[in-house]
Amino acid sequence: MKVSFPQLGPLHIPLRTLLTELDLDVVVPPPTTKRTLDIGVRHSPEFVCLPYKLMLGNFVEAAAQGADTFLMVEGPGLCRLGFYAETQQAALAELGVAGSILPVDVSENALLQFLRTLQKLSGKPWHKIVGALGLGLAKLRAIERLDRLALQLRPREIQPGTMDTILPRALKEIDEVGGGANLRRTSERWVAELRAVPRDEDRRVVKVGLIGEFFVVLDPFSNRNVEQLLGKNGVQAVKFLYASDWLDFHFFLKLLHVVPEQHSVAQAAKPYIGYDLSGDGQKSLGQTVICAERHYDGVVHLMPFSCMPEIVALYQLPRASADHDIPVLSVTVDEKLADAGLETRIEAFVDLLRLRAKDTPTRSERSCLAAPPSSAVKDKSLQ
Amino acid sequence: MGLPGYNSGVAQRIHLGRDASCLRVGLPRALLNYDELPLWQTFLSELGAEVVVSPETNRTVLAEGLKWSVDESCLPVKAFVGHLLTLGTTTDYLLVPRLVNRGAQNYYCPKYAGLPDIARSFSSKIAPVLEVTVDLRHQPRALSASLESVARQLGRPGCGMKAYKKGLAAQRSETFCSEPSESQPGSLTIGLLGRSYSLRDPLVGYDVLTRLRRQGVRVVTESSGTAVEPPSKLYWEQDRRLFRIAAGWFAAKRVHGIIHAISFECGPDALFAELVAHMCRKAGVPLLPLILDEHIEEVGLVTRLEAFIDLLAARVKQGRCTQ
Repeated sequence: MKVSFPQLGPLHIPLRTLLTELDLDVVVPPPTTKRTLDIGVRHSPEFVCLPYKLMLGNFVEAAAQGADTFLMVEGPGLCRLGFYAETQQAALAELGVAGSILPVDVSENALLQFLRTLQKLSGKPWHKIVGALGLGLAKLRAIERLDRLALQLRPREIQPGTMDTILPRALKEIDEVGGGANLRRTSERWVAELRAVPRDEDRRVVKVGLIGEFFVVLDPFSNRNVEQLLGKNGVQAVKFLYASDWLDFHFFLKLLHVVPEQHSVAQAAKPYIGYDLSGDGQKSLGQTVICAERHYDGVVHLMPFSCMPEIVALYQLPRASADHDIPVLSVTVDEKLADAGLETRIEAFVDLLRLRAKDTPTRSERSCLAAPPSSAVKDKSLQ
Repeated sequence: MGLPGYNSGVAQRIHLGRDASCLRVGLPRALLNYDELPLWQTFLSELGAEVVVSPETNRTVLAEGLKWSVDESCLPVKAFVGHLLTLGTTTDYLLVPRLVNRGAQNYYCPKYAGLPDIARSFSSKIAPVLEVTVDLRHQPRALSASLESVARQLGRPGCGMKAYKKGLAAQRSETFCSEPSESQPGSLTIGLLGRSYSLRDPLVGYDVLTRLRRQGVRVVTESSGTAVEPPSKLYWEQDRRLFRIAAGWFAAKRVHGIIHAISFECGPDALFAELVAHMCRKAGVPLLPLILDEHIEEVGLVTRLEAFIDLLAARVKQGRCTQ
């Protein structure tokens, strides 16, 4: 048995680590490329969302390298993601792919379901499985820490693109390193290396929230490397939802009935979207409001074409944007999105944000002028 | 065409007890109200409201919807927006239920779950929105509280759940009067699969049912029960119902072909359509998936329907049908 999974940003690193720790034969699918997309588009329904098409392409390419078991999430709900596996399985069968999808129901008791699946696949004792999951999560958090730092520092690089020559090497080493102290040391070394990249601290950057549907926000192929594009345009982007946040919520916090920060996002969204629509529709409104409250200069909102929760969000985003005086650029992502088109839109949006900020103090300067010094707001996003 | 042939009793009950001081509540003739009009009409009239249902979808209603809705919405949602704007401020309130889940695997799509939010995005152009949240994954108290909130706003505190139960009873007792196929002329029988708000709306569904009958074809849209249950992983209520209808046709070998009317951008149907295609291939029944949006040309639609009918007729002549 050779196990594979979909590509989603850096997730292949913790997944490969976790499965290899359990002595499973892993096939990491080739990185998502135009070829993956072409395969997916050819064998998918026309107006299903882009993530579906890309994941199907990943499975086909992994199968070509010998994979026969494809891990995938499923589970009843409102959004289509929970039903992907059924249709993808039928598509793979029609293509004559020898192998099958192994779905994990994450709608309820996600952690238990995932652990059970790993146990079924590997036959290993529970302590080994929990240890492997712990290592995978530790690597994921190390990677996301670098990502957050790069988003913060990239717009101030003196030589554009420097950080993006460092990051792939960092990810490679994190992938290969073992756990515990080794991982910590490796992680600290790469954090230091990113911080050491020469920067212009006086450069005026605009601060933008990068929000929207989970997959396209996290997957660089889907979003045409939007993080690098924003950095190149002098934008410090802040993402609100990382994979580890999703896992923390579905694996741990739900189990412990702890109300996470996501709840405050839902509260912020209530005047606009009063209920959880599944997916990230409600979050898109909540995060827009929170960006305004944190005095960001603008919001970039990404969504796949035909994404239902985000389409509902689009009805209310203009009002939230006007009410809270924060510009929002919504970009619909599908197989037809060209790099040049996205670049043009981002550049124009950033010009607009700079114009708004030109003759006025920065939004955060204004908030400092308004409030007494002792109540300076601590920006949680930079931690 | 239009709404299914409900008994006129419901309409009569609405007008009894009306007086000048009762509140008027609008119901848009779109989406869920093609399946659940008796429920919500009765709910509102039991709370003493005068119910105003928007007129049948026409070019003006649809044009308003197309103008103001988000481009990527499916056509039925655009029609819904048109109906909201047509009702506008002509009533005191609009009732827009939030349908999320009606138990077990019966979910609705995120548009249904976000319908009051979509409605409120037009708040400057329409009457205030009353919402009832139906999400049976949660405690029954949540539904009760939601119904009570509407009852209070209509000046009938304490009556919410009672009115809703009367609505459910009215919904169950109203029968859908689709014309039995035996009484229809024609040697070919086509199963027409599609959601009610599409098939029964004169513009959203492009009147496919009438067009087919004009070609001398028997058309069925319902079937009697079958033991075949939809896959447990298919979790949308409307698609589960359509699956049972199609399975009934296959079991009874009742149709020569199936036409599946799908709205472009319909989330669940993008995947459900694949399941239907698979079922048809397995049963050896020809399938015409018909993707409908506001851009299709009537001529093209008619050509496709005629070509499909010709195909089916040829198969019957060649003895290749299992009917």
